[in-house]
Amino acid sequence: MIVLASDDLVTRQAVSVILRRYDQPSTFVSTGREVLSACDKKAPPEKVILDVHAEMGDPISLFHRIFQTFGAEKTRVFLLTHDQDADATLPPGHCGAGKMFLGGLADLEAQFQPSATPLERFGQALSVDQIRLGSEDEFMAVFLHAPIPIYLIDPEGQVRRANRVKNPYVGSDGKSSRDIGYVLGCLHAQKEGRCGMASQCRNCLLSRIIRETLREDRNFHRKEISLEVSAEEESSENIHALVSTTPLWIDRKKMILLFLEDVSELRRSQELLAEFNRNLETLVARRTAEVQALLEQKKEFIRQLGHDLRTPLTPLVALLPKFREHLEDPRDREMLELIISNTDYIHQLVVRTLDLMVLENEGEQPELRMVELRVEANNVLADFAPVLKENGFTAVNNIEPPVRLPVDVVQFKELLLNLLSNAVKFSPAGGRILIGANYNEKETTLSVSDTGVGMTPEQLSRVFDEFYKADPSRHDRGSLGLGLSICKRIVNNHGGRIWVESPGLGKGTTVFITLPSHAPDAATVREER
Amino acid sequence: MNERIMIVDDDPAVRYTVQEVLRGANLSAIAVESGRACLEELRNGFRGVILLDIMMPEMDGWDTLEAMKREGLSEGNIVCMLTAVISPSAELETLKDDVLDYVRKPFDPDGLIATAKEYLSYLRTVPEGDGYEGEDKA
Repeated sequence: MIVLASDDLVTRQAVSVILRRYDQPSTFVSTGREVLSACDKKAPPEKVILDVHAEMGDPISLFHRIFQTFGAEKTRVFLLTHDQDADATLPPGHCGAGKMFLGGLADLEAQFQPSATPLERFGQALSVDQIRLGSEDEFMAVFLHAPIPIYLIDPEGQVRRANRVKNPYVGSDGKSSRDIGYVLGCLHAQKEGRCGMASQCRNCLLSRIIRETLREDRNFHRKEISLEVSAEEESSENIHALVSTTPLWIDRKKMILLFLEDVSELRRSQELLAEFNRNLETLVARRTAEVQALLEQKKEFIRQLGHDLRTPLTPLVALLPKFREHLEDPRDREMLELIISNTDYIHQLVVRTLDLMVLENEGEQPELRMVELRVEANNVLADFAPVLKENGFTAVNNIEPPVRLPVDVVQFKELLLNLLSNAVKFSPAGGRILIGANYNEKETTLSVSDTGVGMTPEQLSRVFDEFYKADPSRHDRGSLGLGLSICKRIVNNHGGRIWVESPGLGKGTTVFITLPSHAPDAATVREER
Repeated sequence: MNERIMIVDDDPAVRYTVQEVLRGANLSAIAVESGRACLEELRNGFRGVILLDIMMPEMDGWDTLEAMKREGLSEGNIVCMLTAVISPSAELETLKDDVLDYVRKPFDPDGLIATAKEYLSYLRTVPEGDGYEGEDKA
């Protein structure tokens, strides 16, 4: 007897057509209560089909009631849904409750079709997006077609069953032994005929996992094993696989279900990647050394060039001015002045380039001496006064006494002269220069501001590059593009920082220098005389 | 005129320049092209201000200075190194006491004249051949 509980006429008719086709006696009810009363306790119904769309209470609790009343052995319960996505319709808790069937009408029909093979029925179940639980045939289908190798192993370590997935590790013949190690192609298992017999097996994770799964009744999840297998031309290679096991009872015998995921390819790729990284480090080190050598070469080249230029410059610099006295014609004198100014430019370029080189040399420690910052700045301003006057500049020293700093006096003077000369060079005549300072316990920040042409962000980012000129088209004999590079060297030598700020073109520029208030080693500082 | 300045440089242009610059200040100098020639002049009795180039072939300025000491020719001379090299080499440490000054190439003509005159004045304060030690720059 089959009982169908549904309040929907169409469903009732559809189901009765199917059942009649297979000569199944049936009763139709429309409420949960009727289900229970329709079932005779002495003659329990063979199947109960519950329409989950019927308005007759919670189908799951009804399902449990039926179970309690008749027992799962005698009565099979079907939950009927015509939704493609049955899980969305069914309340949670419908799965794992024994012989429960979830499916639509097509699936229900397949249930009563005696000619269908288990595999066909499996396919039919899939066509309504449902999977049958509890059927051994279908379980076998899943087992056989699962896309990873699965082995059923007996307590002796013999493979009882393997799925149809192409096993990448094929034992030599597969017949002489069905031992798991042998089947997986392990050289030691093939030698001894059994997994776990060779001395090497003591450290083998596979044999340990099998032993412990059996003995301690525990699961292993994705443990990585490594097996030495035979490869081409009598050589061997290692395979890497993730092994998962679970103990299970079949025919009162404890067996092991073993899943294998091959990660050999992954590990090989990882090794290649690691080797590639190692090579990359070597390559980087080599390239760095090459760059270092080139930098040394550059230094040596500049040094040599500097020397070679200095000697021939000597007569030019020393003798050209002598002609001033001898020339009467103003045009000749103009020509001479042009030659002298160009010679001076080359001379300055050579001298400054070599200065920068000396500053770049490591180990050139500044000779630190405690000085009064304001006084030192005034000294430099006094030296620079003729240039300021010539260009109609005013300079204000706003440094408030008393601040004493450890600086190399020669380098500090060079630094400040560079900044002042830049301020004059890049401001229209009659500009204003302001020197200021801020202090704290750790450091002193000196600033030199001008009212000049200012800078764009792009220019700001490059001002410390050697030979950089903000406007390359400027054939300015007074500018070498080295001043700030030299300043940066000097500030670095003092353990300080230097940076340039400008609100934009035409809005002036400020150079900031931060110098430590104390020398790194007090002993190296001499007190000013 | 008693020549009490000697320029030692392998570069004829530098020798000529020094001589010309000094001549403009009514100072005369003898010019030689090598350390060997310089020693020869000293052996022949030259005493005075020596403007000695450092980088010269075969025997450089430092070698020349050492040879002078070895042969006892240092006395009565003021040595001023004439150099285009930026950083003085290690020899400087052992020989720096024998060098009074450094003149960098290319030099400012007025500066060279002033230097030459100043050192000549030191020489005048001590009898020729009696050395100038004991006289300090200050």
